[in-house]
Amino acid sequence: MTDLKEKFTGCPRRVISFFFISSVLLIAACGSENGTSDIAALEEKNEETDHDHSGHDHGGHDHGGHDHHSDEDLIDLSSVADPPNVSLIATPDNQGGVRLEIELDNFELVPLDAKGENQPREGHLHVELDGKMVAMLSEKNHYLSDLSNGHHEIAVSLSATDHRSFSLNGELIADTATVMISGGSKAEVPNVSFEVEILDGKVKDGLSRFEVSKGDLVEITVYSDKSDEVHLHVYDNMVNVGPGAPAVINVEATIPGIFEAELHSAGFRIFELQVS
Amino acid sequence: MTELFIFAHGVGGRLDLPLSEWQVAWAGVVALVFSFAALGYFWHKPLLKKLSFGRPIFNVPSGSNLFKLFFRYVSLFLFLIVVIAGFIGQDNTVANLAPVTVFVVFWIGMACASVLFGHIWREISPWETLGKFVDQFRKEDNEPAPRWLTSGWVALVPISIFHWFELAYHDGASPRILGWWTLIYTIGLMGITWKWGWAEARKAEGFGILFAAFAELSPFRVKETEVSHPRKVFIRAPFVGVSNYETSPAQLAVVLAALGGTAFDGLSRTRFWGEIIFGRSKWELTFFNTIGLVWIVALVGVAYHLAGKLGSRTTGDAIFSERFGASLVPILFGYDLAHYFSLLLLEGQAFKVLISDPFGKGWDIFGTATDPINWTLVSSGVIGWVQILSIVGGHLVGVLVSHDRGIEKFELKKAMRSQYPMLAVMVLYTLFGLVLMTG
Repeated sequence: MTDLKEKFTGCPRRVISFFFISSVLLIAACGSENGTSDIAALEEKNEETDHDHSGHDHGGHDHGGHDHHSDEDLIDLSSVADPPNVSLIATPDNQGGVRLEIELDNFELVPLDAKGENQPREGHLHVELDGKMVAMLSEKNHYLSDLSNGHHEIAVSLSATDHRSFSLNGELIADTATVMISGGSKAEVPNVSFEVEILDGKVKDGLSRFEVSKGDLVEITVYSDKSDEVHLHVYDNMVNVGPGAPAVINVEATIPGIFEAELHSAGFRIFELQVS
Repeated sequence: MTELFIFAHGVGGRLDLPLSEWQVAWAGVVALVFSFAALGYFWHKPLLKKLSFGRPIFNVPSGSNLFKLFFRYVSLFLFLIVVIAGFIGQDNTVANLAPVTVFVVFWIGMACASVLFGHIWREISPWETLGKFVDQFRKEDNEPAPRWLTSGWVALVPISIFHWFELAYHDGASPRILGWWTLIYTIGLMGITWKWGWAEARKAEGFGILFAAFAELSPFRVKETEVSHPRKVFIRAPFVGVSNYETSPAQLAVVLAALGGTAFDGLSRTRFWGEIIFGRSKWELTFFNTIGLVWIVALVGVAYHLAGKLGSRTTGDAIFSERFGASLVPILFGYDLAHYFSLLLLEGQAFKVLISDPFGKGWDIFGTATDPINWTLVSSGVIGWVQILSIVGGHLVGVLVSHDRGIEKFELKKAMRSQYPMLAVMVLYTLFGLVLMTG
């Protein structure tokens, strides 16, 4: 240690300057690179959230597993004269339930197990609650029970006998209603959701920082090809994950800040949750 | 508290939100404008030394020794409990008393306490107590201490190792590691004490050197003992005391190392660094973090060194770097506060919880073992403003101290010229500090 200073000051000035200047340049480069990638990431994120929103509006099947959003799953009725239509009246009671009354124009309900060719004015109804399929109906009245307190979005769409959805000019033929539930259970339904996938000890698509607003109900699903445990700091969710058994983390974003989530055994960060 | 996991860096659970760019832009503008104004127009005579004297408020009462003794033994007792907890408590960062005590209560809490109340570490440090105890038993021999000890450079060793464990090593906040670390450090210090006495060994106690530097910022000052005169406590404006702080090259290096470490801590929480270390774990993670830590510390050090060289050349002052070293202390404290203010208030609460059950045996000594941590004690907005104000405030005090020293030593024109490299390096630190807060 004694001669550290001597060594330090003994360095040729040119070497020190070079080191310093290169560092400054490096920082500048990193800075700008960082800046652009941030913007890119931001734009990407915006797209993602937009996408998410549209997904949610139409029923967000990211988690439902009944993906009828891709074009081939839609039966377009634009060329049909007087296309069918649906309207929904949803009346909540005070016991955590909601009564659905559905009116149909130019559409006949047939039993769910009906077979045969699709007919443009025949089929059944799909009911979605907050973007998740909850019922398939062949009658015009239905009662949904055991909802949690708060706002919920209910959507009813027209489905052909083969369970593909009817659409008009690319839009689902559907009606939605938002209800305020009271007297129901406390457990709430997430309004923001994200997914992370881990393959071969690496997080697919790199490190994500999921940005949510304070008060959001967040659901993060982690898929992994190895068994481990996911831990979200401070919120302290510890959820097991394994092949075919994704970890679903539900948090109410009450604490602002940035929180890391990591795989416990593997010991690396898998995402960050930013609550602002 | 049954979770079993390790935090990524130190004990930080809730990380602060990035500052918005407009906040930072404002802060930068204010810092620059004030620096230039202070440099040129209003400040033509050295003022701070006079201010740093302060005025006496009371004599140190004769009973205060008992008071001091009490705190000294409480501190020693807590130290022993923490070391034992490190070895026999739960091997789990957040469920063990050792990590929160070392990283939050000691490293940050003590720095803040020093700035508020002065050099109290000198009174309550367990190593001070143990060192003086060992002193009583050692044979007095007159062999002089070697130069590596007396020069003070050895104080860099504990600070560097501490930073490496805190910021680079992947398992650095593990209670066992902290237990071993504290034990080895203590044995090392006592070994030096046995050979050359505590007065010399104190120079190797890097934390004490650092806290002493922070204490210079305190509004309180105790006048050193004069025989037959009672010791007096003086009060003065906060921060001005640092104008009396004379740094040796080694002390300067300790302050710079701490500054670099804190800067790297900031960097390690940005997305930029997050992406570099993303997916890396264990020793691979340690490797990358070590490179980053060394790189940032070297950068901070070399920037100051170059400014010092330049200043030396323009003024012909051989000890230019050391002369202005005092101005780094408020900057370091500003950095510390900006990075760790929320940690102290939030994670610090865990101390209250864990001290009730220090060894993880299910005790509840103070009835606080099951208290929840209030993670929303301070809002993000408050944290953001504290961060900006402390970085900019530290910078402003630094510039004032530096300027004051300049005009004390040189005539005005030369003093002004001497300040340009210092101003440049401080603006660089401030911008760097602020940029880190936006990531």
